[in-house]
Amino acid sequence: MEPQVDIKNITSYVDGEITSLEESLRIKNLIETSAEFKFEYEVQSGVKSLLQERFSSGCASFELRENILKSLPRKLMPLSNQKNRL
Amino acid sequence: MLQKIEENTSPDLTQLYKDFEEEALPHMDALYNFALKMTGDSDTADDLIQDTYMKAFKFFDKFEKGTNCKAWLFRILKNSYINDYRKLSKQPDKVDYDDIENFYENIKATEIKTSHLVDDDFSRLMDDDISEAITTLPEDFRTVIILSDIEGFTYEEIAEFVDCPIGTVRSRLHRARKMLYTKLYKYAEDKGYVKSNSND
Repeated sequence: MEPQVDIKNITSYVDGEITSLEESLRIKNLIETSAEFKFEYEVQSGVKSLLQERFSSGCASFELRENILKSLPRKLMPLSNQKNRL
Repeated sequence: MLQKIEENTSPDLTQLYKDFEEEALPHMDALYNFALKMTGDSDTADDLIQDTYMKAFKFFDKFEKGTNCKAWLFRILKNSYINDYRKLSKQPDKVDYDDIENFYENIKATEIKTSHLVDDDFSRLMDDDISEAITTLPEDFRTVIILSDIEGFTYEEIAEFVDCPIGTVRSRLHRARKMLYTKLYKYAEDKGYVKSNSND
């Protein structure tokens, strides 16, 4: 008997986060044969595609860029040497 | 801009500006997208981004060149948002996952029965409708869906950003998409893009 597939694995499958080929094929098969898994796949992949298509392009204004560049401090402040820590 | 700065500053500072422009500024669009979706207001998003870049420049000597500058900037933005901007955010009433679950199950039953595809219906929705639907998601869910679906972060990167296990990221993302789907389905239904049959 095959192990049960958690419906949330559809999300990992849509996001390319499944590392096991066997698991990936099992989910693909379920999407093709189960109406419930197919629906969940369409919801997860449909919403992801919609957001990618509509919002993935940048939208910061030219004025904002200019303001930021103009606002950069003119003198350096002495800071700690620890890297990548805030 | 860099040329003007070079006329009045030391060579060290000029190099710092140059590095900052090359490493940090290219990520402004991604940061702005995130800030706008989190705050729900373009003026507040502008302020948040400006604040983020001021802090980033102030601490830029701590940034280790060659590491992930985008993730570093997002961490600064997140801290600024939590500390200074969260209370100011203009956001509509939040949806509750438990409330929306029943509606989702109804849609699911109907859609499975009719084999109806949703993609074409949602493609007719305006960007403003989708933006508003995103801003109604609870913050934890909104954060993961923006980082994953708009900014293309991996689960591991999101887990580091929100400081929770990868399994939680996946679970939140799964639920966030279901919530967003349900909200968009309701919008599409109201506008007559889909037949109102979810309560049959």
